[in-house]
Amino acid sequence: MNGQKEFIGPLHLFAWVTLFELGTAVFIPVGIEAKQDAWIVILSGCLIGIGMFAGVYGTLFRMYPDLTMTAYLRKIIGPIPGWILGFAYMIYFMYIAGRNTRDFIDLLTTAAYDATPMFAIAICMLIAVVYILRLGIEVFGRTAFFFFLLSCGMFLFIVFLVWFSDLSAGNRMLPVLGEGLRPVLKALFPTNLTFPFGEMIVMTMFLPYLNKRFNAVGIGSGAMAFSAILLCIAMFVNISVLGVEIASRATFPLFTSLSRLRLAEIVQRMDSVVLFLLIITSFFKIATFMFAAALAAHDLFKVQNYRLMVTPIALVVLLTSLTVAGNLTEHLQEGLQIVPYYLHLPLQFGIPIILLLIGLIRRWLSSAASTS
Amino acid sequence: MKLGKLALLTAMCISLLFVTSGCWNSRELNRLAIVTAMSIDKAENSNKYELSFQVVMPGELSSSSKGGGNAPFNIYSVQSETLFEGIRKASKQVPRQLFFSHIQVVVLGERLAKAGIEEIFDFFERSHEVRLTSMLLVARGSSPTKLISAIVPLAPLQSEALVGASEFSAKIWSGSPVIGLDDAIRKLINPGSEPSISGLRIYGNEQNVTKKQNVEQTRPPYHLEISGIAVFRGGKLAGWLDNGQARGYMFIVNHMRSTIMNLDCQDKPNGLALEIIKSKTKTDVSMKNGRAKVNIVVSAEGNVAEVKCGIPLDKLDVLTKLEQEWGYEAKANMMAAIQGAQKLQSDVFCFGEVLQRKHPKQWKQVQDRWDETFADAEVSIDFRGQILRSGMRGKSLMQKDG
Repeated sequence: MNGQKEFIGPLHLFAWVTLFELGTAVFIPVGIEAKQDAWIVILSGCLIGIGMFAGVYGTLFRMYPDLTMTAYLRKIIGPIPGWILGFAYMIYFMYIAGRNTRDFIDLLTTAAYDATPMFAIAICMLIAVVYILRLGIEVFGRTAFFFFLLSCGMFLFIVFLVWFSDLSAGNRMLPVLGEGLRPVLKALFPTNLTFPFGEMIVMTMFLPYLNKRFNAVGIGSGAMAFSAILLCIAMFVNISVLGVEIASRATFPLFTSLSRLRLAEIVQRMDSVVLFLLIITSFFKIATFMFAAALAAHDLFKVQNYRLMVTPIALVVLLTSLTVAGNLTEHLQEGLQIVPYYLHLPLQFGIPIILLLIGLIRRWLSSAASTS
Repeated sequence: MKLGKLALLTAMCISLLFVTSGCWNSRELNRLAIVTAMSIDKAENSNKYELSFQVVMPGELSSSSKGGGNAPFNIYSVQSETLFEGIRKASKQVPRQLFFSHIQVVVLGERLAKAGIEEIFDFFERSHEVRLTSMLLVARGSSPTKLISAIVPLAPLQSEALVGASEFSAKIWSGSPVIGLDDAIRKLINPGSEPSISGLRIYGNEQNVTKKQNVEQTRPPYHLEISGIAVFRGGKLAGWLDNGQARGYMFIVNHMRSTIMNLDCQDKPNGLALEIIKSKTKTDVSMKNGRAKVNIVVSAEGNVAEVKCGIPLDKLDVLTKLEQEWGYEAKANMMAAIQGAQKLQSDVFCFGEVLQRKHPKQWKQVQDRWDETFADAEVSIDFRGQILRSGMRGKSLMQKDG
């Protein structure tokens, strides 16, 4: 980003974080392994996520308020190891952007565009992402706010439908903790600890670019809590309409629920609303990860303008999304069994915590040296 | 330079219009054959499916042009190993592509129901074209193909007639439930419940059901009727609940909207018609000493609709006595339904689900042998009936003064 002229306000940030957290998480049912207790999984995942975001990432940000994460990595653990780790983060962001693109393609293909090639869907999405990223963070924030209002309207509409349609039965949410805490913990660790709330690690790339006049960490945490509530609502819709028996096996439960709901024979088959939500939230998720990767490249390779990096990154993401897995099963298996352990846990939790510890020790040593 | 750039941009935008406004696999309406009902049965001597599709003939349905006097729908039948194969195989007979988004009714054959219905649902769940809103029926007595090919009066679209008949019979007769695909799937999966599906039967001369002339007379030689409730056990048709049992079933599962019950009128048996206008059921299930205890509380409201004797309806104690008799009758229906289901060891009332929701710990202990636990369950019913009014007259014309 050139200079600090671009502005993003607290509302924009709130909208951005909410859409980012909802992306793919609303559709790939978070924590459904815990059956009716999925909402407990979501809420506890969110609490831990907020703890990490405000506690670890936030403290690091307060220690280095003008530096992005890749930059303070070099400050904390030395120039060369810091650069290598920063490079790893850049690759990680690109890889996750690719995975999210693939999620998006697969959901869209199974639900509606069954004969459209993956490449066509991916290229449409990525062209839009590249376009908005080249316009800068201010445009991005404003777009996020607009689509945030639109998504909230759609959510309200869905809730309205569920409320007034006699096809949903609230008692399908029972029993609460029927199998005890074990399934909840099993669903929480590690899959739903890291997804979607651990992914806030990406925000460490943007915090220094935000306006210093508001408490970005507080706003971000609020948006996380808000998105957790929206996720719980989506989960309630799935389970109360479909029942846990169908919802837990569905590839795209929200879509199926909405195709089932109807209101007085007039308002029916509102599944297209879900496709709108899918496209909007996926757009912001993919864009955020690519934005972070572009800023990381800008910092690591000393590129004058991060905009130059957007198109090459988009090409990498496009190829990643198409080649990351041979089929949906492989994609999901990697996403649930490999990525959380080997990528999410170390990069979202391990490294930031170690960084914070080293950073605190360094500060303590230097302050001890200056006072003595 | 600037003009060239502008021209290029405009050209690109216009060319994008062509690309983005189309669909990749567009299917035009006049190339689709809209399927409104489907029947599935097992072939008589092999393991194959016998599928029939009811396809609308759009020209015959429009009210403005009176059509060519042809049948409003056609039936195509195929035999296949899998459902999806059958659907594609049918394209050899149908000049258009079959389109399944608007299936309203799926009629299952008795042979299939007895062999097990579990495996057919996978296709309906997996396909993104079929929506789970379609209604399920089980053919009773005749082949399901015959049932969906019968032409009926009042509704040119036969599937519409079936949906209408089921919904109205559920609403004002409450003799059978309206069961959707998703309902059946949920109950198949949950160990604490078994699916139950309404039956469909043809009455009268079923020789020429496919002829349009049938509806050109005031008394068609046959009619279709929603009749009874099919009870499944482990996905296989185990038996039927009929008449009083079916009504008892509707009371227990809280689907009772409105029905007519006949009570004795002084000396005349079944001489008093009571219209039930409201009914609410609460069920509680718990385990006591290894035995399931089911507690059902029904609160219902009703009106006296007809009497065939001079019963003094203006006396409070007469009404109280009627309410009592009503309670006996309703309880007898419900007990008959429960005993019928217990004999088949099939928990169509979802008592297991109730236990699961209210007492998850107790449920875990009996989960694996719920069938037997249900068959052995001790049931107590509390019926609170309230007669509100007796219509436009107080005294019956048959009531003697004095």
